[in-house]
Amino acid sequence: MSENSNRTTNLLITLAMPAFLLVAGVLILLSTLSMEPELGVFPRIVSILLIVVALFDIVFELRKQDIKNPFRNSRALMSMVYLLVLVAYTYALPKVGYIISTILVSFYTMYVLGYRNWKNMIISAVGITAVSFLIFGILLKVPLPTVFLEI
Amino acid sequence: MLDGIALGFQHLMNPMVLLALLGGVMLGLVVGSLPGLNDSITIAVLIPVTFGMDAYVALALLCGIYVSSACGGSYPAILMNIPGTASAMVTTLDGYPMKQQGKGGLALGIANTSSFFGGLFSALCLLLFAPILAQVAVKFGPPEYFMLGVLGLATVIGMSTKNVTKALLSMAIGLWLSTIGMSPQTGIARYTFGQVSLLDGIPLIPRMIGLFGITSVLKMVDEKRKVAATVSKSEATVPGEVLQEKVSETETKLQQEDVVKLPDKEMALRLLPTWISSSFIGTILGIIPGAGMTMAIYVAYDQVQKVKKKLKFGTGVPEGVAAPEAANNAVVAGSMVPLLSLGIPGNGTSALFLGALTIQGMRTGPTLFTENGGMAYMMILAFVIGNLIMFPLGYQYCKHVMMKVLKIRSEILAAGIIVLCLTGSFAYKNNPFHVLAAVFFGLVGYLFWKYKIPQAPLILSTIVGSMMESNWLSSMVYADGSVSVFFTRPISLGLVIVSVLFLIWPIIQKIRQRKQET
Repeated sequence: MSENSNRTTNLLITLAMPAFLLVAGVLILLSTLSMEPELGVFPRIVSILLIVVALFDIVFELRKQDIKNPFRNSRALMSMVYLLVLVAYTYALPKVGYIISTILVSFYTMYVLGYRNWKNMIISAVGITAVSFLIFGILLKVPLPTVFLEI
Repeated sequence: MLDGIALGFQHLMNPMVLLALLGGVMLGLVVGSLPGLNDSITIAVLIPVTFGMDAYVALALLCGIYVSSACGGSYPAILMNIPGTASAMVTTLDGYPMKQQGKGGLALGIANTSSFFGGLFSALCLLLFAPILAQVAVKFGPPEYFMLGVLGLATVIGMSTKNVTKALLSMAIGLWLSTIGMSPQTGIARYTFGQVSLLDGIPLIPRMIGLFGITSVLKMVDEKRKVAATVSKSEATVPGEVLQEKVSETETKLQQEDVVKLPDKEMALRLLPTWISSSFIGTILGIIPGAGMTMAIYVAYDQVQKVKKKLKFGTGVPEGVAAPEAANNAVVAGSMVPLLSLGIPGNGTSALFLGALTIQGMRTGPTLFTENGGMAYMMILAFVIGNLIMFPLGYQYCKHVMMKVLKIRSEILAAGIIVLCLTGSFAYKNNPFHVLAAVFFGLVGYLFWKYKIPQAPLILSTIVGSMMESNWLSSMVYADGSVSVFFTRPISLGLVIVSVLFLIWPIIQKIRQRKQET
């Protein structure tokens, strides 16, 4: 029973991606119906290709004997949290400024990878941000947002 | 022609022009090695600056940048699994595994030498065959361009021998992504979801940064515990924290023993056929407008896989670094052939030279050779001499700057990578939206990795998709909706045959293998 439920869970997770792409393909195909012929022909061909290939992939996966959970033994949740931190960085950039946001994101990156030498982490985070600011902000004159520390 | 070459050489030997060429080569290596920057951005920024310069000095500077940035792009591709330029994407496949095996220095040496070989090969071809080669390029029309895109996609699908379905999925996703933005024919926006930033489509640089750089850091986050778990199975009595240190010690030892070295005589002889074939591929594809470095690196890599079947590409094979690096540098001079001969740029970067020459009051095309022969041949010779300068300069740059990167602790390096990625994405067009785009593609790359979907078809199809769509529509208008146009034109038919061969060759190989086994 446990083995069956494991297989079912693994199957559902494995099929999530091709199923998502199948649905996406259908939605794209539907969206092309309201487009002018010149505008819609290429997306229509692509959506049909996407639907057909996604269906094939689902069939191949269902026929497999041994289905592995792609997220087994992984820190997927931590990876998603890290991604959310990067998204937060994007929104914080114009509000808090480049320097503070970047120091925080580099510090957090080292932390999430398991580094625990706090002194080195702080020095590295500040150092990395300083070098990056020097190259992009000063040498290449990229207008990096510096809300609090105008240079 | 000899008079032109002599005049060009005379201009090039001017100390200021030579200095500008040297400066351009150095700058190209540096910007190429920084993800988020590339030759196009640098040249575009410098063109207004060159307005006040002597024409020969200005063009020598820009030629130097163009010559070396593709080579510079391979350095972070090998050391950090992030291509510094889009043309180094394929180099990551074998370059980074080589670094992980403690052969990062050798990989850098191979990349340097391959780039030099490819660049010099195509520069000499440019010098000798420019007028002849341009005539072939003129015969390419919309059907040929469409089939060129098909050929490129067939190549990457053909490379994915393990799971063709997943490769096709990746390609289909990429082709749809290429439809985002304004339609090439009608100018009407598609799938922009109201975002003004998407009107120009999904930007290439943030996309590459996300798929490579951010994905690589996500992989490190994901695998952190897995590394410790693997070690703990064999050393069950050792506490968790000490295990982390043991893994780092092994990595550090490999890094400290790794030094930059050029390929020795044996390795050079082994790589010579790869260098020649890849340089040839790069030169030809560089000449064809629109084909570009991306297609050249995939075709070259696929070609070497087919020839060296016994090698396990993707695990750190020297040929896997040599092929794309020779090909991408060979595209450089090749792309100048249609520009100088016909006034048609071979790719985006060579299009910038059009602007640079116009600012200096010169016209490209056949008249450039008659009215400004000295300039035309000076530029061609700059590509030859630029490659000769790039080789030792690139070696020293790797030895004294890039190898230091290997000695840095992986957690600190990851933080540096993510900062470079995020800043580079922003620097592309000073728009935080592009940082979000890079993060999004980081997620795409991560999910592709988890579900074992190859990235290569996605990357290539997003680049060629728009070109394929516009040329498909033009072909249908030209042929009144008849697809026979792809089979009745000789060059197009040739490309159809080659595409089909690339697609079915892996299937034929599998059938032959099964027959041999039974």
